[in-house]
Amino acid sequence: MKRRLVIATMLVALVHFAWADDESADKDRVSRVRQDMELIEAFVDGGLVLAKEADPLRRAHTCNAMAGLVARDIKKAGDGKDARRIAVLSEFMKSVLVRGVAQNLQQAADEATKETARAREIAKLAGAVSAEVAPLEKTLKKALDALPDSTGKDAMLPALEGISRARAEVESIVSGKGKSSDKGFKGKGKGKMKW
Amino acid sequence: MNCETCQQLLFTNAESGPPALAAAHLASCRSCRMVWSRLERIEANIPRLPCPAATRKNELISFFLTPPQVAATPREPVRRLVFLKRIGMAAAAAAILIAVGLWLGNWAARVFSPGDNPKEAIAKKSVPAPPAEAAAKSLAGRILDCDLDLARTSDPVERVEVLARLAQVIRDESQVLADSSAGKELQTLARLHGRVMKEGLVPRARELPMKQRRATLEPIADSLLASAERLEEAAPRAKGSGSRPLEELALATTVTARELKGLIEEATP
Repeated sequence: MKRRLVIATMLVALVHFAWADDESADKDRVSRVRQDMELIEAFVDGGLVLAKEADPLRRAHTCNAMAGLVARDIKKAGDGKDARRIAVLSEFMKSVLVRGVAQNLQQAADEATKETARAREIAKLAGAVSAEVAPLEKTLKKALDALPDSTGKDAMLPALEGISRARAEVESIVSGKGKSSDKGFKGKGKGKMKW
Repeated sequence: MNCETCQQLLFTNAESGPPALAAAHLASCRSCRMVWSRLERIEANIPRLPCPAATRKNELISFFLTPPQVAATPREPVRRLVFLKRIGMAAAAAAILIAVGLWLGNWAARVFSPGDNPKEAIAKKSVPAPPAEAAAKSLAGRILDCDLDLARTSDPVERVEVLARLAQVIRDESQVLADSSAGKELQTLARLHGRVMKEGLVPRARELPMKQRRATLEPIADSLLASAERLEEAAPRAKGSGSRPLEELALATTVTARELKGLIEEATP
């Protein structure tokens, strides 16, 4: 009887062990979705707006609003010293800035006549984006310096560089040098990014 | 009493003689009297029939009189017990092997993916995926990818296709979450999916030029119907409160597919 009990226990333990990994992966997935739910809802809203918006300037505004929400979450993750989440959110930020804001601002700038109300609105938005991104970059650099291990730094660095590049692209639109760097963000925007 | 009843009584009482009930009928019926006389003759001749000598009676008596003996060899029930134990042990061993095999299989599939050398693979297992990859795989990342495709295009066909992909992303994630008891998240996803369909896909599909409708919408509608079928199948198996959101997703998907088919019909001369 005892032997049967031991065998049965071993069987249960082994089967549980075999599936334990899958269960923890499921739990990870659920917790990620739970953590991202506000962003997910905002992204769906943003997508629905973008799907009916033909004006690149309005599209840039929508993408900038989405970038604002990502920035808010980056700050939250920074407060919680969650390096991994900061890195993932920084990837989101980089993509929104490059493929969303900068690309549409550039298109709007290309189509706008100088010294018109529209050209001023483009410059205003570009300036606002640059002003919002600069402090975020500082926060990210601080978080990066505070990381104890090189693995976390390696993970965050490309995203931080991407954000800096996106800010530079936006600033070049304000200063009227956008055309010279077209190759930079137009190329990125047309093709799909890694993620 | 008629002849049939009388003869039945005679047959059942052949050894003991005609019953009193049948006596009156026998007195008045010649044919029944003949039956009875034949039965009497048969009964009388039975003891004369040749019969082999009976030995079972003696054997049975001696079986009860002989004292019980201890069996020299294991008897049948004992042998059966040993056999069942062996089968049980073999089944247990097989189950252990299967469990170990499954675990090893899962582990090996994750760790030793093609092209990896084992050391790198083990290192990879302990280090989480790079942020770019993690972002790309996450639901938020995949939705954002669709958004940014929508942000760069004004082409109505491409918009419809991206919105269909966005809805598909939400359905796929919902189906995965249905196995994880994430009822609340599933409900939110079902609601968001409904919005993508109602406020995104259908209105944008309606804006498509008539000549582009069939080519654009037919594959999307077909894919939606297939997706709805999969969701309907998955709904009863969902954990916890996950089945209802899956049903809602399936319904919204079917309704949208029908609306798209309607739009195709409108464009068909």
